[in-house]
Amino acid sequence: MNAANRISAPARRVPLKYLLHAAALCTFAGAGLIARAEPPVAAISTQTIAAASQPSMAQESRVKAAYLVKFTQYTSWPASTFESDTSPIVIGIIGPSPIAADLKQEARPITRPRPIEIRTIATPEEATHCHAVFFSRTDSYQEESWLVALKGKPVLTVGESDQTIKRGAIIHFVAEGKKVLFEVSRPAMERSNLKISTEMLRYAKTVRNALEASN
Amino acid sequence: MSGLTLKHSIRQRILLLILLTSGLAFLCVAVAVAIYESTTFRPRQLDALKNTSRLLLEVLPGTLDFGGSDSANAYLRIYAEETQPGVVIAALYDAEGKLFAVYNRDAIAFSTPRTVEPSGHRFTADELNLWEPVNRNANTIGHLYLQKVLPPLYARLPQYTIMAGAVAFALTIVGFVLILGVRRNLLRPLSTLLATTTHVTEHRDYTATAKIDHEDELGLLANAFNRMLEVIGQRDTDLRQANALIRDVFAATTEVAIIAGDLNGLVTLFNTGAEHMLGYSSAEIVNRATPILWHKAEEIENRATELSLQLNRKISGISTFTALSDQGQPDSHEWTFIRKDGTELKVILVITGMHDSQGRPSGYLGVASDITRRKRAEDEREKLHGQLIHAQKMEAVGQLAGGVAHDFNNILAAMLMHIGLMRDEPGVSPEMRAQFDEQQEFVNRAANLTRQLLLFGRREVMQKKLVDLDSLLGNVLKMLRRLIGENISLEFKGNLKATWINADSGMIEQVVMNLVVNARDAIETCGRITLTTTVVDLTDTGKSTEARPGSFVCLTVTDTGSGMTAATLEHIFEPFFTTKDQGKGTGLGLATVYGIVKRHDGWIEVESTPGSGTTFRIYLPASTHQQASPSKNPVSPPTIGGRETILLVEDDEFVRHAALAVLRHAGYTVITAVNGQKALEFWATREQKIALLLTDMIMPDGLTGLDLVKRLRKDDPALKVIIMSGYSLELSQQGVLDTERVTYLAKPFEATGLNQTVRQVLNAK
Repeated sequence: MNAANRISAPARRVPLKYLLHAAALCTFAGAGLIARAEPPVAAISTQTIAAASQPSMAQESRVKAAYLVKFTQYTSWPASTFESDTSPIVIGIIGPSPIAADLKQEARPITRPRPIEIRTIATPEEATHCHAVFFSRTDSYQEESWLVALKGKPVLTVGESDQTIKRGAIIHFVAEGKKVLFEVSRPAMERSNLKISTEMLRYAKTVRNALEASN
Repeated sequence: MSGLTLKHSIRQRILLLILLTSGLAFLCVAVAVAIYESTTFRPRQLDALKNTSRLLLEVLPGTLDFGGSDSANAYLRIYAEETQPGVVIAALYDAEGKLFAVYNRDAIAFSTPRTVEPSGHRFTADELNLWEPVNRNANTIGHLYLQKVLPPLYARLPQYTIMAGAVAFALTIVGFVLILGVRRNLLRPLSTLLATTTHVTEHRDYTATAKIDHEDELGLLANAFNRMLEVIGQRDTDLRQANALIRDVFAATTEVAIIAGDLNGLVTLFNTGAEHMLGYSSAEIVNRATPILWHKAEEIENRATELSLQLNRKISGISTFTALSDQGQPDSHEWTFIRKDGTELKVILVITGMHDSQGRPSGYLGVASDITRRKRAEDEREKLHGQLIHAQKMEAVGQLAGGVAHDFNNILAAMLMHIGLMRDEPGVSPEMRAQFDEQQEFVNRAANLTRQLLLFGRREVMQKKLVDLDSLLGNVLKMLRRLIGENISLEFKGNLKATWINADSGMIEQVVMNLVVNARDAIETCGRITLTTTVVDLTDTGKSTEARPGSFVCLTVTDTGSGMTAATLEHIFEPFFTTKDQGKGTGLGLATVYGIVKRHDGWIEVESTPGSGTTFRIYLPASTHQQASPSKNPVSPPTIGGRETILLVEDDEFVRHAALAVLRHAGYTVITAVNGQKALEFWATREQKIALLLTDMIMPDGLTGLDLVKRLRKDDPALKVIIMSGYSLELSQQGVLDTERVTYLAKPFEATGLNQTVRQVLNAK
């Protein structure tokens, strides 16, 4: 409906066509809803990417790096999290990780509105200064404590473990066959005071609306 | 345009104007729309494409980043098919320029670009190509290509139909309202005005008004029209009244003929008076050139000649009637009109010219008055005047005759008495006596002449008594035979019954004698005179104007003489009119006859045919008193002479002396007086009885015989009186003669006559 409002303003200039446009818009918006309700659509997209790459860890790492960078492009943080208008979006990686190189490569072309900085962090304290933190499968053991530390902080937390959502992360990579999908936890997102665009949420495998039982 | 507008009604013109205006307005709108359409078509197409693609561009980054080709394909298809139907190709390329998703409606007809081109748009003849970057935040992550087929003009036009229809509908409504307004404000008032005008023209109803409750020019027009109607209506009423008056006047003037004609002589008006006067009806005459009908051709010719001389130019035909009025002169002339039944009448015809309102001659008006009666009255008056002159002439003659007769009779009386005395003298030889008789005859003829003069002058005293006309004629017949000679036979055919008339026998003898003498003179050599008496009872007055009903004795004197012409007949009773040679006739004969017959209340009818004779008929009133007087009147030998004393009063010396001699000779004692005064003086001193007064009537000292008689009778009422007169007696005096017991003795008289009269009076009781 937000899109309908944006369309309607220019449409007023040509009143004769208003009805035609309004009708088209409704249809278009409806199509959007249908797309979101059908996860296979997103899966096909991922499949295309997966099919093009070798079924290897490296492949998967690159896909996830690309996803991570894209996630930052659809997420908006409170303005206070940036020092200036050109301050970079900081993505934190715990310890040395093979994904760092992929991330850097994916982030390089993005300069506007903010550049992306890949930072290796070691403590949850450091993680609170990042805009996004990725917990790889290898970080699973410390994932829970970090997430507790980051709870309520404006940090986009992304994990791979099955427990990730339960532990309070916002996004969870889901492997489905050879495809990489993602889940979003709306309560976690809202608790972190972040906003994720519907254009991204539309393609999520699941948007969880309730907190699952956690410890 | 003007030609078209003049041919059509206002309604049509206004309708046409509205239609033209609507059409023009519609055309303007169409042109404006066409210009708008053609000039803004491409920008609008581009705008529309960009606007709708913006929506697509917002969802495409998601499909590039997360959704994959399938969802991108779906979006492109939905967009192309449902949002922008004209889009035939929608293609999405990723950041590297590889085709990521595509919608191509007809892959054979349209080819998808293989490589990415810079952002922007390009128009070809029938399509629009648009390249747009797909941005995520500020970063371009792909490219969108749209190819749209531009709809041809005919496909675009239908979208204007609604607008065109709306405009046309609006124009129709406006036109309809305009027509309603025009009808209400213009056509209806005009129709009302037209209807009123038609109504007024057809029905001459000037009370009609055009009811238009507008306060605009039409209302003013209607008011002006209504006021005009009032004025015209008033004038129409006035005109009708004037016409009615004229018509009534024409109809009422029944005694005067009013005939109007136009310039060509056609009769345009023929009033009741004309119908009465001429016997034609108006329908017979009007619109015909008919004046000739009732005019006499010779009168017209005479009048034309008269006018030609008067106006010094040739006048003829109809201009005879119009020439004078054309010159503005009054034309009043006497004419003889001929009625339809052929009878004639005299009229005075006054002709005046008529003029129309511009003063041009428009015709003629003739007004004719019947003057037949006036003419007759004039004739009558002339006749009366003639009669007056005649009477005056007779009066003059009578006075002259009377004057002469007075003295003449005295002389003749003296002569007769002397002759009588001498004749009766003893010793007169028979020869001498015959001479005396002859002398006496001469004197008698002279006396007769005098008597005729007096008769004519009606100065003779009439002594009427009952007379049998037949006996009277029988007595004079012998004398008449002697008078007419032997060549002419005289027949007398008496009536079987008695023909009594109350008349002066002497006068009647005179009448017969005069008529017979005239008859004799009319017969040149030999012929016959017939006297006839009849008694007639007239009931019909016949041809004579003097005749009247009653019982009359008619004396007819017919001769076989030369007869008289009608012209002569007219004058025969005039005094001094004679056809006889100078010296042979006095011209008094028939005048005397006329006078005597008149005095006997009779009349004369004359018939005469030149060459075959004349018939006179004398009508005298028959008397009903049939006295057996003839036996009482035996001609006994009169006793003459006596011893009585007679007072003789006579101013004429000769008469006095002669009478004195006669009476003394007869034995009377006679005392004479020269006038009445002397007689009175003697009477006063008389010594013996006066038995008889013999007096002249007229005496110079102013005391007449009658006066004297009255004086003396006071003294001696039994006094016997004889009044002598050679002159006349007034009618009143005639009556006196009877009441005063006076005997009248006309001069001249013979000695014998005197003696007889004296003796008779003396003998009378």
